[in-house]
Amino acid sequence: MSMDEETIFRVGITLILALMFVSFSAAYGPLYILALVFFMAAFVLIIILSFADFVLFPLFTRILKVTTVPARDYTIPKENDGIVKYVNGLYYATGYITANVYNYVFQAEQMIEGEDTEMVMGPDKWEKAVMSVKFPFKFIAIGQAVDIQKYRDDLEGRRAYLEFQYSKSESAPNVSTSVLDDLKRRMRVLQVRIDRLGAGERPLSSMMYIETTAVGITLSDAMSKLTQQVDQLQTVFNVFDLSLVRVVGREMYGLYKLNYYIPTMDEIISSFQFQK
Amino acid sequence: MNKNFSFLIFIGFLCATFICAVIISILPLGYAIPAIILMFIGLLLDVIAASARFYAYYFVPFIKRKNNVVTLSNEPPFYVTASGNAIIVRAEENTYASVFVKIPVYLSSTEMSDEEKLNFARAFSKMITVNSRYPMKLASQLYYLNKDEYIRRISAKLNEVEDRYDKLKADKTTPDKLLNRTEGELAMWHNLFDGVNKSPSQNQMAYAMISAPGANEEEAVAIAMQRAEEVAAGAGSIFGVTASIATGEEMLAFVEPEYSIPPATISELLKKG
Repeated sequence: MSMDEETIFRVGITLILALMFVSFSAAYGPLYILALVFFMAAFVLIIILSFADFVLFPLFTRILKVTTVPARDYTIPKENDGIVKYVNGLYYATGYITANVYNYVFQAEQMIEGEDTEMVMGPDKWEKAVMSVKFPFKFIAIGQAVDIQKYRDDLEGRRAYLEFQYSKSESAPNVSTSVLDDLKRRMRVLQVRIDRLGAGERPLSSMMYIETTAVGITLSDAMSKLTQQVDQLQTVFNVFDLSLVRVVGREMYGLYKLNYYIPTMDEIISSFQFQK
Repeated sequence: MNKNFSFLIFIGFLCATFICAVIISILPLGYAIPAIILMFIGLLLDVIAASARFYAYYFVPFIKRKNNVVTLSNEPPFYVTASGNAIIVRAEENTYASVFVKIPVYLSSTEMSDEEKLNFARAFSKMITVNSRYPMKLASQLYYLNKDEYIRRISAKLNEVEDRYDKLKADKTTPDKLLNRTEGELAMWHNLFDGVNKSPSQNQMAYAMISAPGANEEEAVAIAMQRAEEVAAGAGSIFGVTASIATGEEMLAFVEPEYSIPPATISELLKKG
């Protein structure tokens, strides 16, 4: 069962059970309204927990003022936006930002025309970004090649379908040049992808993020410096046209664990479903 | 946290929710208040069941928390092997070994033609897919250099030249030319010493991290080392550099925050506020 199917399965089951309560409460007259309110609250919570838990979990730990100790010397403050190591009388706060470089790697969802121009500019942009940062950070990509043959078959199938559509549109009585041009462009894009497979590139399943560490003499000092660093990195790496979101909560803990070992790609993808 | 454990917790809470629903359905109509309370409890259990998908690992430590501190583990996050070239993590049922490969790429885009830039960008995706059998982490890290040793060397040299200069100056027979040259050398070391203390020096290093699970530490390390050697060879052919396995403090700089910001640098940073 893929993770998306699993999410739908779990959400479905829990919502069906919640609905059962509403149907049973219909017999209790005025209290039915209260039951509906409970149901709505449960419905919202289940949806958020299943599709955007990063909103709810930090709120939960903040309200309950709960700090978490993921390992010896490490603490996750109640805000859940950084992991702090206390060593030698100093606090080292580490934070994470999502940074999937869709336009510069093979696995773009939709290959854009002029990708080569973008890729040529990549090293320049990277160098300028790194030169303007004056604190430690890591740009991290975790990836694994996917089955080339399956990927090639998929591309060739899509190209064959476009060719069929093209020949059908061409022989139609009212030929629209814009439709033909669009089909040609899409075929060209697929052909470039197939050519790149032939040149030795492999399709990739990947996850990319930025990690930065700030040091302070108190916990709040380290955390406030970390926030400054995260803000600066978000500004600097904006030139790459990335989605730069600060990772919080459970997914931040997951990224912290990836510092020490890498599980299988399936496990990684299932754990980082939403802030990729 | 084990996926099966998460599913077990999910099923457990679902069953509890279902029991609440069944009780409500068999309650006589006059028991409206207990029914509503049961409904509240049932829906709460239902929400907890939904949260088990991602938070099963948090349930038990949360219940056992003391002073609002939830302790997931009191162990260090990893151990360094005796040989100092890998780290060991015990996660779930497996023992994982992780090895780090340094990839010293000293290229600047200012020295590249457009074609070279394109090739370099493509080399990045080639590098990350260098092996299709397991996932690999490829990172570029900017970190502060530990200048302690460097500063000590400059300081020793400065002292040595200062002594030499004082002796030459005291000796009336010293030729002016030699005295001037030594004075120049002294000024050079002074400038170097002042310069190196002005700001923290940074270094950028690319590295690959490869992990392997094993039944025990030795097996995991052996598999991870073998994979790391394959990756090092791949990096060498893609970037044309000599990639090597990081050991000791070099390796810890990729994992531990205090090694990427050495204490010598912190005093400079704190002085600057």
